[in-house]
Amino acid sequence: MPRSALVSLLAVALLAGPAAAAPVRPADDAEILASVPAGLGGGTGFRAAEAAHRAAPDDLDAAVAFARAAVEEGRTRSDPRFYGRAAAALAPWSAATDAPRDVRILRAVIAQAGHDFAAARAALDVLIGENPADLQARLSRASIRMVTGDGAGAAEDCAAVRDPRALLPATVCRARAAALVGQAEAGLAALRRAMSAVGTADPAQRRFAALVEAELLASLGRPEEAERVLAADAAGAGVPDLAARADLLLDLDRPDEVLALLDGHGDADVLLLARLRAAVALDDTRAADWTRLLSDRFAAAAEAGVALHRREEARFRLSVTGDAAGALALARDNWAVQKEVADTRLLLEAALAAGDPSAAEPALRHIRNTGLDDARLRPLVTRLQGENS
Amino acid sequence: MLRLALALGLGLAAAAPAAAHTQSYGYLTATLADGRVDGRLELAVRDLDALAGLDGDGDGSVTWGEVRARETELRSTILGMVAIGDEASPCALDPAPLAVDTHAGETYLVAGFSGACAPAGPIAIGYDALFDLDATHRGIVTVTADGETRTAVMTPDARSLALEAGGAWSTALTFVASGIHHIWIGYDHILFLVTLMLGAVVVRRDGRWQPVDGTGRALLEVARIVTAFTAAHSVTLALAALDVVRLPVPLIEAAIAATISLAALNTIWPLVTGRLWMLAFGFGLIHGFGFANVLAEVALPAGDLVTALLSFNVGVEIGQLAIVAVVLPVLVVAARTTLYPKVALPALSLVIAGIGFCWLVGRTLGVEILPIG
Repeated sequence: MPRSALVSLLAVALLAGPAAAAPVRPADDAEILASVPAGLGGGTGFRAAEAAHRAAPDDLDAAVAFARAAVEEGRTRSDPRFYGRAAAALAPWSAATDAPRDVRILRAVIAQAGHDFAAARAALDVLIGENPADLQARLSRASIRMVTGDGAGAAEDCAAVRDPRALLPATVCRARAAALVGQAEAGLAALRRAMSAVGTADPAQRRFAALVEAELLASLGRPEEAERVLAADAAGAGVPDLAARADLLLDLDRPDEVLALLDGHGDADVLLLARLRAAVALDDTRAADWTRLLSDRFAAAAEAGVALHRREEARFRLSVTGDAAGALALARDNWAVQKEVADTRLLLEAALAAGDPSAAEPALRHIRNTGLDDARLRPLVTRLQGENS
Repeated sequence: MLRLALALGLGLAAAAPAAAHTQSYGYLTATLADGRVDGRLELAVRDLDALAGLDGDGDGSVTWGEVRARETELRSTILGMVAIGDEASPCALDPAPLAVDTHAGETYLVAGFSGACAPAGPIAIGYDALFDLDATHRGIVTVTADGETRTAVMTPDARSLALEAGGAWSTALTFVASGIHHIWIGYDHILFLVTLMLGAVVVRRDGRWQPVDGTGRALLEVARIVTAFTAAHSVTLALAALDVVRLPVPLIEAAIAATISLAALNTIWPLVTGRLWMLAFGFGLIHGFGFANVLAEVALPAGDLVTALLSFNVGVEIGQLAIVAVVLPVLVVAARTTLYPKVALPALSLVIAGIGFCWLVGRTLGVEILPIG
């Protein structure tokens, strides 16, 4: 089936509305209903922290330990429920303005994960004001500044992390910030030096460093190399790593590898979207079901007033259902809140697809002002400047 | 400790690029009719596992068998999260056998219930599921009573819902009352109306203010003003309440303050004379957005939206007319004195313009210059 016909079919399929399932009582005891973190003796230590917290809900240390474990679980699974669990665990200490630092920084991270960047930033500003050398707070604030498009400000926070034991995280931070102001090449070199200097670091640190290395390579127009970097460290990859690799494979026009890569890795929205884009490219028959599923998810979020999905929904409308105008509206709303390269790219692509090049103006101005020079954005910028002149 | 901090520093710093997620939702459906309630509460298996530890063998999968082993306990736990009926004494709910359903690709446990339920007063719905476990949980509640359906989203800060018994009429009355209340506490709207009325009882002739000929003229002029004001704010209230137009709250608040100053200044240095109703209309458009902001704090019933909006507007109009009924006779009498056009009118107008200006500055800068603002 030609791709355009499949897209139209998908768009029509959506008009039928969300799938209405009726409750049933399963017949088979072995039927699996849900997958959850594995219990004690297996898994990430999350269950142990959970049990300790449950046994003593008023114990601050147990709550903080559980909240940290939950936040890490939430990050690797790209699952907001875990951030919700962390927030609930910290609730007894959250109202006080003089809550312990550990609680306040965790709440800032949770706010950031919920895309409440203003609240997170405000909390971190206070924390850093009280203790300018707090490296957790510095790294978190740098991250928020990067998400909101302030690479220069992020670089300041990264530079404030001077503890030699934090060489790798600090260099990772600086490299990410450098890429936002057109210095990805220098950032990459520094990152690689640090990675070999630190040697066998904590696996989570190493994996995140590899993720950033791949991002820098992609921004320098070296996507094959980026994909190889991620492929080399595939063991224990979390959802963010898989999502990054899937996006690279889609850009490299290797959709079959996307389906193979993501098979059996759960249904986080971002992975579902990548699978769906691959399915559309391959005319795979599962595309219709996956389209309905994602569409139901977005509808449920809209119904509950949850606004975390604009980037994904914009990409969904742009690349799957062919709704360029809808995609542009979402891309603009999204860009008002966050300005990572992916968000900028989405806005530029949507503006072109919707035939409204002037909608991309804020992004073009941002690129000019910050010196951002990303290989993925360059062809879009050129086309838009051609259309605007 | 540092190792953990560094791992966390990286992990925490990496929290930003996380993409879209699967949120925790719950679905409560209930129908009240003929003295009975029937419905169900659906919660995700993953969430119930987090609450009650359903994965008995710890293998990372929750099976139907593991759920069935805890069925009785689960039924009562889940139904314990719901309260339907009289606020003080909710209806007793009998549990149905558990079932399984799917929403957006995720598996939910369905706890059906039924029971005798004929609340004497307004129907209260309490939804307290999982909020203390997961602060991001949201409950979608759909309740049908007296043939009308209402939907609401429950959050950690909003765990209960009150339905007015009696349907459309009671919605109308509730919102008429709400409209009256909101205009009477809307001192900036009142001040604007009063400002226009100050000028409505006089007319510019021979280069000075003179009382308007006859009470009838004054009444007509004020009627025009109030009607124009109401028409305009009804339009923008509807546009904003229905989310057709969205303007930032601080901008509107500041603009309302500006309309007061401008209306007051217009009384002293008249740019608009004789057609105050046009000023009332133009500025009324701005005030309508202000009403929408306060109406946003009152949950609008999804099924009765038009009734609610119309009733609210009627309430505002009634409230305005009440104010006019009090203020106008005073002004008509005052206008006949020599003091009014020469001294009182300009003085009052200047004071009002000053108040409006203080509010404008205060609302723009986010500070309180006057004791009320």
